[in-house]
Amino acid sequence: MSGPADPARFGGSGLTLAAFGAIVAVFGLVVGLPYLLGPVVGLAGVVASWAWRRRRAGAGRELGVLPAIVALGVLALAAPAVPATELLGGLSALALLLWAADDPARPAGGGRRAVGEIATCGLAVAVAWTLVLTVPRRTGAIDLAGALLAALLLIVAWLLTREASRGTGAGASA
Amino acid sequence: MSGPAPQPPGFRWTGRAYLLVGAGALLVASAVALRAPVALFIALPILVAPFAASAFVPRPAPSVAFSWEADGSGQDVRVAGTIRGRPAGTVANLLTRPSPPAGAAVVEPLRLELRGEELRFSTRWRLREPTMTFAEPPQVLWRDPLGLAEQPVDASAAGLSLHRFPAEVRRLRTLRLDRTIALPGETRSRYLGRSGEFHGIRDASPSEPWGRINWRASGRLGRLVANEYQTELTGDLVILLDERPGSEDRELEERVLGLGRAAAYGIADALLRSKVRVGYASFGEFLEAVPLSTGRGHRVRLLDAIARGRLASVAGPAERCANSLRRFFRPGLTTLVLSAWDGDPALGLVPYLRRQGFLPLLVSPSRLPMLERDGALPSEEEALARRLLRLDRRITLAGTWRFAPVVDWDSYWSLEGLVALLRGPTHRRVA
Repeated sequence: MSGPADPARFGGSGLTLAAFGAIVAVFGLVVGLPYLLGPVVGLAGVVASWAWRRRRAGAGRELGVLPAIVALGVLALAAPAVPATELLGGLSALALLLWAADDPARPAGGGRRAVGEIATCGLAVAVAWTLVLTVPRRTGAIDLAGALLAALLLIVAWLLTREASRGTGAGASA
Repeated sequence: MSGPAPQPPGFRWTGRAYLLVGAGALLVASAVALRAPVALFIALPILVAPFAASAFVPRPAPSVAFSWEADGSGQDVRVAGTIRGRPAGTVANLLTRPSPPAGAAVVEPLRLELRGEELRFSTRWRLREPTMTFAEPPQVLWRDPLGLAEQPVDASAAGLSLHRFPAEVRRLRTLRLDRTIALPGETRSRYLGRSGEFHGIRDASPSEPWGRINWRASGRLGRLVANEYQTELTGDLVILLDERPGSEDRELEERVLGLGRAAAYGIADALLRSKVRVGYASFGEFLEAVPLSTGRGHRVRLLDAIARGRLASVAGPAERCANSLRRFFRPGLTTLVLSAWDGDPALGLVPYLRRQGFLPLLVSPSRLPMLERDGALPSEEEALARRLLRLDRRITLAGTWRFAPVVDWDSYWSLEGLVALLRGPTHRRVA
């Protein structure tokens, strides 16, 4: 009648949290802030997010990623613009998504199931980092990258909204 | 003739997705403003993730089989259910959040257990008072593993009925209500009829056997009347449930109504077991009634009628209730009124029922025990305020005693006041 219990237990595996913390700590180290402030800020964000998700239930739980994003943002703004920090910044964000997928309130294996989505994000990071390595840096390149990113997202959002409203006959919120 | 099945609405982003897009946009703006390209690399996956999640939403929506049930006794309610989804693999991404009905509180948070292609969930609720209420079927959602996009799934689930009754209703089963005749003047005879001792006379029905017609009484009254014999007949009782809202607080009124429904069905069930003929009426804006009858079939009819009752949006006038009741039940019947009305006694149902010839008996559930502490007052002053409110209520209800006996029902898990009243020599004899 019923199948065997899922070997992966509920409660979220500590592996994703450990991986997330480790990558953020390394990113904090390479940022180069004095007195190991980088890893401290990064890990503080990770711990705050973990505690938030552990304590909150319902809609408040959704906001658990916020402290980690703030910490990553602080580190990113202080980081030198070299390929290593850029790669580690992208990896930190991917690790954040992996940790977010491994939610203890949901059936186990969220990280495994989210591989497709995280791979899509990883592909975007990989393309961007490859461009950094291959295209010489110029003044104004960051403005161009920001504008391109914004334009691309707007186009994708418009396409998705159109598809959702066509599929259901009603306007979707995406 | 049925139209196409309604399609569930399309996918939508969750709060987390909007949060990520907002944070990503802020990071992009900061990166451009502060010339910090690393922030762009953090913003990129954060911004792409909601769109990637939207692309992974299954189309068409998965089909889901949802079932749930409630168990437990007393205040304890254990809710358990299963969700099965198709195509295979979707069940792990399904979510549901059953919410307790008014008057119930969650004591154990929702637990999910994935077993093969079946998602099992369980939770525990605690009922604050006896109730006969209905838990709405929960929405089932497909949500992507990152928790960024979700899509409602048509689970076609049925609601959950929760029935809990005060313990004293069992004692009502041993109560044997006397029955008197509809026409004035109780008559006893030493002759035994076909179905027992002669009991009285009543209006003859069109299909009445000639042998039952009381010709002398018919000649006297000028219309056909028939003999009635004491068979297994005991008393008749009409239960009238007041579904009018008494305050602005909708949730509180739902709880009061749930309590009234539990009392109505509990009392009806107990009395039907002792072969009392029970009628039921509910009054919100208009009156709905189930005529007097007895038996198992009637119990199902009553259960259905009581469970169907909903809090009225508009309160009908009490006079309408009394007038309408006359169309369904003859005057002189004992009418058990379950009404939380605690305003002016002259505006309640009881005086009007009395004027229409019914013999009302009021059971008035108090709202005071349902009022939560809001922390505005210190505990001592809160206790004092509650005492004053209780006294005020007692004074108000005392005014109703002019028209009918009143049971102030403030200890919900006990109906001792009503049982004691019905066991008294005066009220055993009902119409």
